[in-house]
Amino acid sequence: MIPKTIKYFILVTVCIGVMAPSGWTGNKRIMTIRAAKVMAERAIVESIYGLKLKATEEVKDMIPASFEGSTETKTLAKIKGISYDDIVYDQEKDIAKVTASVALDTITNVDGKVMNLKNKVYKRVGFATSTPEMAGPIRALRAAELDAYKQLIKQIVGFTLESQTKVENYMLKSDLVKTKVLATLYLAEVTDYGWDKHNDAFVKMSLNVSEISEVLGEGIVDGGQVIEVEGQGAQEDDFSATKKPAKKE
Amino acid sequence: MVEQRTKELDETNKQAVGQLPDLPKNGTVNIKAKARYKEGSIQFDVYDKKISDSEGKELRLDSDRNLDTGSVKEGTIYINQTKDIENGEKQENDPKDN
Repeated sequence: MIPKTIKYFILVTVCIGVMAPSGWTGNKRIMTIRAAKVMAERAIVESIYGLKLKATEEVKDMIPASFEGSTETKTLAKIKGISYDDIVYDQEKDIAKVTASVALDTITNVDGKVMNLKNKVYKRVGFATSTPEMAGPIRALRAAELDAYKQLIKQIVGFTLESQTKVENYMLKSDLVKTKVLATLYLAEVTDYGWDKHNDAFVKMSLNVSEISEVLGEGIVDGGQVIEVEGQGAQEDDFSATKKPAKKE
Repeated sequence: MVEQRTKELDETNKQAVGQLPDLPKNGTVNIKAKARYKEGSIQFDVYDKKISDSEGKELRLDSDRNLDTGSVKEGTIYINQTKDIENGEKQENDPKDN
């Protein structure tokens, strides 16, 4: 015969076991949504206030395995009045998507220039997860975002090229090619994003040069044009496996 | 993705080096350039270049920022020309030659 207290203990344990998962999901959901809000806020700051970007790419002997690329961004601003229009949470994948928007009259951008935004509404989307296994697509999307920023800067400001080239019978063979980018960027808008059939992410961005000229009250490079780029980002670094043997040589 | 980027870098470099007027038949070309997009193509402002022939002999070392000054540049070496000029000057000023 099982004592009453043990019966009661077993019953309570079973009840906790059944009830607990839904309780944990609730906490995870809140944390994931909160993280997505932060991602969306960062995107808004990067879009309006702007960001500093430093990127390098280097390849030796035109062997893809020797390719090295890095992109760093930095931004810091205080923006009030961000609202969250659309919050979606996928419980199965533990991924949250938040759309943030803000309308400002004026703002001092990353270059210290005052921009007259005339209360135009800027919107950006942020994704997040609390489950590391699910972070792949989100990391790929961020990589694509950074790639798009870099491409916009390359188009507007340009880049530095350093190379060592071998010439054989007037034929060029690139031995070492390096590119460097260092600049600030603001008012870039995301026009589209997603993932392709290979699970690589893409982010399409545009920059309206005329609008920037108007907002800043000064002319910029070749006015009257809209610059459009598409950044790409991968989920997995399967490339490193081929890279390691090349380094040993 | 990496292969595509590698190809792009190669093409960009070949475009920049291919624009140089004094390429040797065999040798090496080291450049530093500022690249900018204009009307759909990339324009290169090569501000530093070093061209050597296949024997490693330096043919030309330029810093293009000084090109327009018209003065003698420290960064420019014309092999086999410097010595000739020096010898020529010495001979002209040598009183013993009279």
